[in-house]
Amino acid sequence: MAQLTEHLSKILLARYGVPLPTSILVSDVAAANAATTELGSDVAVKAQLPVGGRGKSGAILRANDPESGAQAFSAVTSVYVDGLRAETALVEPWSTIEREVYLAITMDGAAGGPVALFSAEGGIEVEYVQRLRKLSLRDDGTFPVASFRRLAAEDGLPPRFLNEIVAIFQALARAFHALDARVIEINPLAWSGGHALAIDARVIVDDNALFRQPELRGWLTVMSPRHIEDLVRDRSRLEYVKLPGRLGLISSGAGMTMAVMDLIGERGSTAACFLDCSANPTSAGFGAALDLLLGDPAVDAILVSVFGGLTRVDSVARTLVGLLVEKAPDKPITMRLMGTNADKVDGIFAPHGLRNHPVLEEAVTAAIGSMSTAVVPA
Amino acid sequence: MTILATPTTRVLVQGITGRQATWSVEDMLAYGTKVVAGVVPGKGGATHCGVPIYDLVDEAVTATGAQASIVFVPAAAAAEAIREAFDGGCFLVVYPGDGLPIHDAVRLRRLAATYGATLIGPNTAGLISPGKVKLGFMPSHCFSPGRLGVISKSGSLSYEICQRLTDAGIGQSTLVGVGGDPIKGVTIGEALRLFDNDPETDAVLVLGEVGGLEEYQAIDYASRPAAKPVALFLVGRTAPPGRKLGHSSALIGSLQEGYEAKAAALRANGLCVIPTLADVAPAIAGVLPFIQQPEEA
Repeated sequence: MAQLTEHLSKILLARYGVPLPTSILVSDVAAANAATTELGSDVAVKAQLPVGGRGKSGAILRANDPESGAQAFSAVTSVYVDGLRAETALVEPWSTIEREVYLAITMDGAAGGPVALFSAEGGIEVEYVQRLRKLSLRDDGTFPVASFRRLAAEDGLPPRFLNEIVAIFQALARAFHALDARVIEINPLAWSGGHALAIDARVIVDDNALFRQPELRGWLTVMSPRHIEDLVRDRSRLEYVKLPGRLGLISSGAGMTMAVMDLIGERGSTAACFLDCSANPTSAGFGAALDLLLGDPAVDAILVSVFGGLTRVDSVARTLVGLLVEKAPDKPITMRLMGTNADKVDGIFAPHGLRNHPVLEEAVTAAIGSMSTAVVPA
Repeated sequence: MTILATPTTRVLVQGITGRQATWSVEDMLAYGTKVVAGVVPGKGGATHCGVPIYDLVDEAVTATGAQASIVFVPAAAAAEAIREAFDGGCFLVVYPGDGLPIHDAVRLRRLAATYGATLIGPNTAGLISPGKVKLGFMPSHCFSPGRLGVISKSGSLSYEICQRLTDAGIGQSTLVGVGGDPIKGVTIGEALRLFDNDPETDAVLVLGEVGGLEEYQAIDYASRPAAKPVALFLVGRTAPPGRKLGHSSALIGSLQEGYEAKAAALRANGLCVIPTLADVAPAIAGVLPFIQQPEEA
């Protein structure tokens, strides 16, 4: 699930005929100044980041003259949104919006395939807050026009907009299939000067399909900035999400990792991360995971919890011993290894003075306890 | 009885010579699963783990009467392999691998439906009917025979919990790993209907997650007359919205997909939502009409 920047998303959608504002990608203040002049001196300057929430974070600003266009560039490329700071911005003419709607195509588990989503109102966080209308694409991937017209009439979408929306949805349906997309979203699609314009757009591509999407794979390789989570996945095949707590968690299996996060929460603490090593339960994988958490000043202590199935935990124990000897970590590490060959773990740990906590709840309690005794480096 | 596979089901293994497949085939044979054929293009005529290899699925089916397939091929080649299994006449296909492109999952789900066949996966440990048969790579020692059906989105969580159930004397009829992808073969709702028809399953435990709406299918099932008791344990109550946690379906994209909304809706419809890991075995003991002893000591 790799989100492309607005700029890259719009390049793709333009190929399918989606109507877009004129836009200029700029990477310095001089270019921002020139672009503002070229576009008529009333512009939106939009930080290019592959994340949502730019508008409310000050990463999209309006500018009314070339000088303020340049200032807006400096401003939107200095704010952090979701931990990322943009290097480039898109400058577009400011659109006077008469009406806006939300359009998307995504994969839907209940429908067992792609669905079109729409709302007669667009805007910030519409996808999270509002109930969206949902319409399955046909099995051949096409957009069901008549069903859409019926729902759109119920929702009070003015008939004069509908032909344009239908054409855009048909374009999105073609793009969704051709790009192996997970999500294509236009929010808002605005009426400005009597015509539809995709003011903002995002395409989320399926990492698993990049082997047959060479152009997208190439773009993602050079796209910048990217989330540390995505870089860690690409480099080390670890699933990592940073969380607000201070107890680092290394686990195996998504469900199990979430279960341990929840146990940490139940005991009044918070995990510093979701970090799932199941795709790479090797010395390289666990080593990268330890490096990530040992190098993170927000992590006070670490809990390693693995319930091995196919992964034999005696081999995990040997891997961990090797890594701990090599790295000599300065943070307390609590270990819980269970599952296949768990009976051999004590014998591997004992010579190194390490202890296994076979009961998960006890391991979590011990790990939380180790945080208060953690020595804070001077 | 078991659901989906029985000890007499004749199983073929696609990609049988791979490392993970080899480990799994030896493990399944030791468990009693009738592995009758392997399929590896270009290696037809050889044998592996004592199992004859064929170039193509339909050759294996013709020669051995194979009825089900477990597919150990990389995700980029998986769609074609799974399609070949269904086209070759397999009524059940298990795809444990992760990383299947989601557009392929959509097509394969539809293909299975066209054939009236069943796909388990992707991204699953498979299925096991303890003491009888397994098509998957879960650690057998966590499981014991009994009358509780288990449906899980997560492999490792199902091991942890089935180990706790086994330790508490609560055996399992079948564990179905439905997997953590948003588009899949058998879903939670479909697995519940399979357990409904199984006279040897008295109640069902669903191991769900935040993200997606699949757990709500339990409400549809529970509203049937004479539905079997269903309990759910949901992980991810401390997960932040908008972030994918490992499983690609574990992403809270709307309020309905979060923990509080899911748990509240399930409870409001009379389902048992187990609050914490330590409560799972005791709660199941309360849901089941009696605690079963494992049939084999």
